Amino acid sequence: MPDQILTLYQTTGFFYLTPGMAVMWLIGLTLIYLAIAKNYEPLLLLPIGFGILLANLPLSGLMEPNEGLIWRFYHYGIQWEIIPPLIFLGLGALTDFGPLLANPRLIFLGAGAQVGVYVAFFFAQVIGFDLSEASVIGIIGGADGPTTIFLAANLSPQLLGSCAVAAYSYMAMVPIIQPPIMKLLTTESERKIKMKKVRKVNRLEKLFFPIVSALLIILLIPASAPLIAMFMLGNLFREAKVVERLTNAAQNELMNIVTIFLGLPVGATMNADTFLKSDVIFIFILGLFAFVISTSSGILLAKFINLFTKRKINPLLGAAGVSAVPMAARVVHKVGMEADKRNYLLMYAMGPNVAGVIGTVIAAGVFLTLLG
Amino acid sequence: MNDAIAVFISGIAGVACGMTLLYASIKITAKVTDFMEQKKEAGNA
Repeated sequence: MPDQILTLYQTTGFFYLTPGMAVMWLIGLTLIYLAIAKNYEPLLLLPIGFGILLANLPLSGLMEPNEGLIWRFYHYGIQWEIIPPLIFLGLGALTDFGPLLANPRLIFLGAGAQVGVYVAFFFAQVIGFDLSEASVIGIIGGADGPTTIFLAANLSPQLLGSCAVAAYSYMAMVPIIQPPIMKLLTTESERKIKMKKVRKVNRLEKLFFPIVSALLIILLIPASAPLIAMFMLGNLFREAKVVERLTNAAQNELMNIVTIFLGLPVGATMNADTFLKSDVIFIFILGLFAFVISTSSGILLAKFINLFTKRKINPLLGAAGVSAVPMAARVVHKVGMEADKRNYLLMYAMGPNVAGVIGTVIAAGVFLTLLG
Repeated sequence: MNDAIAVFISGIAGVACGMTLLYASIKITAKVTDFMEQKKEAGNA
């Protein structure tokens, strides 16, 4: 009888539980708590947190290759490069390039903010990560979750979970991380700089932009095609104004569905064996470092441009060059308002903010071209 | 290390080149579409 009870016990997951799995539960529960109680990127951190719990339940088989349910989501959705481009389709349909087209020189702030990606890449390589791993760690600095996942799935699948969580965590913490850097690198008078009114953008420009930019960027960096193609198609839906149903579907239903199937498998890649390593701590530190450098380089580039132009740019706008849309632009607006209550920077900050998305995709495309 | 430096330089150059190309295309598109709008308005008048 006791043997039968023992045998029965051994068929349950309880028998195979390890301390590492319990630690992962704590991490998963923490993410769920942050999503629900603190509203930190809940759309992603909630399914990621639950995915972590599921991945650390012995015998569940959910991530069993070729068999598990969540493994199928992961394999066909992420490894086959389907879900991140679909997220970009929705992002494109949600993005208004008007502020960027009205003030095109702000595009360079989106480029400047990619410096952190490459600096973090370099340091990650120096401390012992291989080139592919270092590139995925560096891209965290772009603060673009889908691009980080896309690159990780291609170059370093073993880092996918930790890098995705780092990217989304730092995106959620933009209002905490960026303001001290912005205040440190700018003077009160610089923060008070008012942006000049910009010209009106006509409809044709908005229609041409997704077509022309898709052609140019894909010709220059073909590896960026999956993300840029979908991003610009979504934007063309939006600006064409003749496919409202498709625009709405891309913005809402499709975006929501793919978000579910993105978060859950990303969380499920984080089992105790692959996640509980000292490397993960370095990934989070380097990711934060990348994000800080990206914010700083955007601000410093704006100050540098101001040395040569009459129409001064408020250097705070440089901080919006990271891709966390629209959070980074809102933070710029808030810090600008603290310096001068009549300084409305939100519309201007959206320019470098959307340029940052394109810049991060180009950076990822370069990594894929050189290391893929 | 040499590979890392090569990727670093290529990466910065790639992003700078891509964004400059995009900047130029925005400027050219703005000029072309402004011209088209003006022609259209002149035609209507």
